[in-house]
Amino acid sequence: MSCKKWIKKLSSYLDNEVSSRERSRIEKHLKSCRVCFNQFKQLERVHRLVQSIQPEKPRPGFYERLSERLCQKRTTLREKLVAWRYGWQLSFPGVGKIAIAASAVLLVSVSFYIWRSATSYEVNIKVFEEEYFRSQQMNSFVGELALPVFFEIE
Amino acid sequence: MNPGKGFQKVLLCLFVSIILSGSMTSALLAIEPKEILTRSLEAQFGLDLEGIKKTKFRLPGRSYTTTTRIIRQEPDFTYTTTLAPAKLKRLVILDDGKFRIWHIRGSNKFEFFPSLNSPEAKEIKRKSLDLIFINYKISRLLDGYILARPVYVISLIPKHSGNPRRKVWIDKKTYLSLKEEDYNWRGELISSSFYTEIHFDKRFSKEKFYRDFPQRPRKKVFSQERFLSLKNLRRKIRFPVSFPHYLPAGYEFQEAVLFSKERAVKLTYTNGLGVICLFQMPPNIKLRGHLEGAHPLVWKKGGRTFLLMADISRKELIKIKQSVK
Repeated sequence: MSCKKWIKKLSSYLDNEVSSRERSRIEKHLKSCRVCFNQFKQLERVHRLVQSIQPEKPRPGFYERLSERLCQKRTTLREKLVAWRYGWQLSFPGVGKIAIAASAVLLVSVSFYIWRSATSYEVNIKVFEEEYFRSQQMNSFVGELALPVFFEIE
Repeated sequence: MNPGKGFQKVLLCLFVSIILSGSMTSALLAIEPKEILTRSLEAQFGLDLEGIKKTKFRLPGRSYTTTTRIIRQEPDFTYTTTLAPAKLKRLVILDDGKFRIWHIRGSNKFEFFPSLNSPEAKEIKRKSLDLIFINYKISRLLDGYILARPVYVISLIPKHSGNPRRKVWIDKKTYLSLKEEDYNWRGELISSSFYTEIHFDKRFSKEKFYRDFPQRPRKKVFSQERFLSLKNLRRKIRFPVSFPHYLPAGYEFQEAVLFSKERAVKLTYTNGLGVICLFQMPPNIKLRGHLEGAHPLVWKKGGRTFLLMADISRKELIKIKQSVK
């Protein structure tokens, strides 16, 4: 094994996170390798220094506030869509999905039709007079009689 | 036998034969008024011209005069700008054979209509002319002059009373109608249009006319659909339509227009000159406003609104109304 790999394991060794077998192998290597031993000593110094630092205590009620804010975190639209799609996939079989989609389309169409039929339009009678003159114009020998122009004058 | 008398007889015969041959030649060369009208219809589409035209309308309670500058470029291009009244000076009408586009200069407002130069419109005009030949007595009056140009003067008198009539002044050289007068069924002049200035064979670059448009309009979805046969209309339409079972003598179906937005239908019948329009609207359409002086027939049947407009007597209008089923 190269020194690079041994050095990577040093941090775990200092934190007592390696097996006893691995531990003895690392110790054996440290005795035989000067470079790794120097590296180990430096790490050991840093480790000791970090452990000597007294941790800063958070202000009273910090954890309660943090917990509250985490609960309030807004879910993004993407997250919502993913959640909805996941739920949709789980809830219905293929045929059921088609039936629901078709029903939705039908409902929208029927609503639109009822809305259109129920909505009454007011049309100015002059629109029909204009159409009448347009028909008269078709029978003229002169293409540019421009009969409907006078509606603009009004 | 007196040789002098024989010579006189020869001279007399010669004179008579010259007169007869002259009148026969002129009779042979004289063009029929029907032929003049046919050529006039075609002439509109085969000329390059620039002209100023004045149009006067006299409707019950209203009368208007408009002056327009017209540019025609063969085969099917027409550009019209209004010179008067001042209120309409920004109005431009461009007909490129496909669309008839109304545009207010300096705005983004466009209105699209089917072209009056389109093959369908030409077909309608040709059919109208055929009906004129059937329903009107066409006579040639004394030739005259319009803008110092010799013209044929043609009068169209209806064979059946109670119909409109027309008088047309047609340029002898180009067969273009230089003046038109329309009279209603009572014989009152309702509109006249005539050129006050005209220059033939003027060529223009068509692109120049599109400069008035902010963007050259390329496509437009019409809110109208036209049908030249009732069979096609019945195939397309998805709501009940009633048809008149009585029409005054000489009138025939011309076209049907379906307004998709309002789901209204216009049925047009013509005798060549006169037009009868029957509009039908679904129950959710209410009519607003009124027409000064004009008295169209409006009634409701089965929830639908009907509107009948035509330049014929009130009695005939009522007869048509009663026949609508």
